[in-house]
Amino acid sequence: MCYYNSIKVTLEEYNQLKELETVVAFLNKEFVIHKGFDYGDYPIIRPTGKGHETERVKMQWGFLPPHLRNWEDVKRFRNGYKDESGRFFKPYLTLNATSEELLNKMYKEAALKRRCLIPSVGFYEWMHVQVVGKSGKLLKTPEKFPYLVRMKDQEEFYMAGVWQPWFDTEAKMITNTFALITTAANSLMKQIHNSKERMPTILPGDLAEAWLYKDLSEQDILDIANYQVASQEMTATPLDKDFLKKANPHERVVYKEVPELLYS
Amino acid sequence: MVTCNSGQPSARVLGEKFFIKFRGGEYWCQAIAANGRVLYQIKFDHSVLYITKTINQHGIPFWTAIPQDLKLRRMVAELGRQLEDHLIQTLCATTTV
Repeated sequence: MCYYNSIKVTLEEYNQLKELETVVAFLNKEFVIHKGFDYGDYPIIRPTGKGHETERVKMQWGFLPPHLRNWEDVKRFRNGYKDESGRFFKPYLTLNATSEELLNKMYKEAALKRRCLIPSVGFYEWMHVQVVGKSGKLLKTPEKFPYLVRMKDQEEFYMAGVWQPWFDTEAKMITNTFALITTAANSLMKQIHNSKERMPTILPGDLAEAWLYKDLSEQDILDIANYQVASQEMTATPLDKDFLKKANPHERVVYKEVPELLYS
Repeated sequence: MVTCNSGQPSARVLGEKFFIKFRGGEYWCQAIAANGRVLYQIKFDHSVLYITKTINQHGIPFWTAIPQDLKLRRMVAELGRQLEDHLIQTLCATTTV
């Protein structure tokens, strides 16, 4: 007899339950999928200010500029809104900050003073492919095929980011927020993310360290933000279109409509 | 963005996701077949709980969290009851160990 949750169970039952723990450990790791538009919390790495010490802290993904006063402003900022005359103001998407414009826009102060790293073991992008419909003609709307992109030799890698403490003037609360920096796509990512040809700025060790600690000039910041990891260092796996609903979301799927990727 | 793993124990989603009511809230639930058992994955706001039905030495079934967590025993028992009610109402089915 053994105990499970302080209740006596047979040894056979106990062993089965312990085996289930392995499955759950796998599922827990596999199911941690952060979707940007959930505006949820995500662990990021930032310097503590004491030497080369860093800390992992959770921040809200979706940079909020200081001029927003309260969550109502945030909602309008993120979703867009119509004023009394019916004029529509477009939403601002601040999940990503483009490297080329990092010092021109709302991110400038954060880029100079509050740089961070976003740890990841993979990210998703969708390839847009024109497919032939039942009538034999090309469909107007391209089909989207998801890919999981990882680094070949690094289980965890680091993406450049900037963060901003945002003060809610009504609740008198601070929420730390961040944006992930994107750069021009390399040749592999151009094939996958063919609608926008962008990818996260993935930093190797020396640049990641410089991004966090060094007193960088504006030109240094732009140079690092624009860094493009080589295609050969990445690996991409095509996934089921409904992969988020799968027990094993990262199972490789082969599509005849999708051209083979070139890692050159 | 995602965390992922190369080791792949066998696990398979069973049926569609459904809602269960618990202490005034509604939460997504998904049945998963693993190692010949059925696990129920319940998604709370920022965490996921797995529960399954097991049996004690006297043959009396009870619900447990996987991995075991004594602090959650009452909550798990309550969730288990809600799950059984849901299955009985929607599928005319019940749970077995």
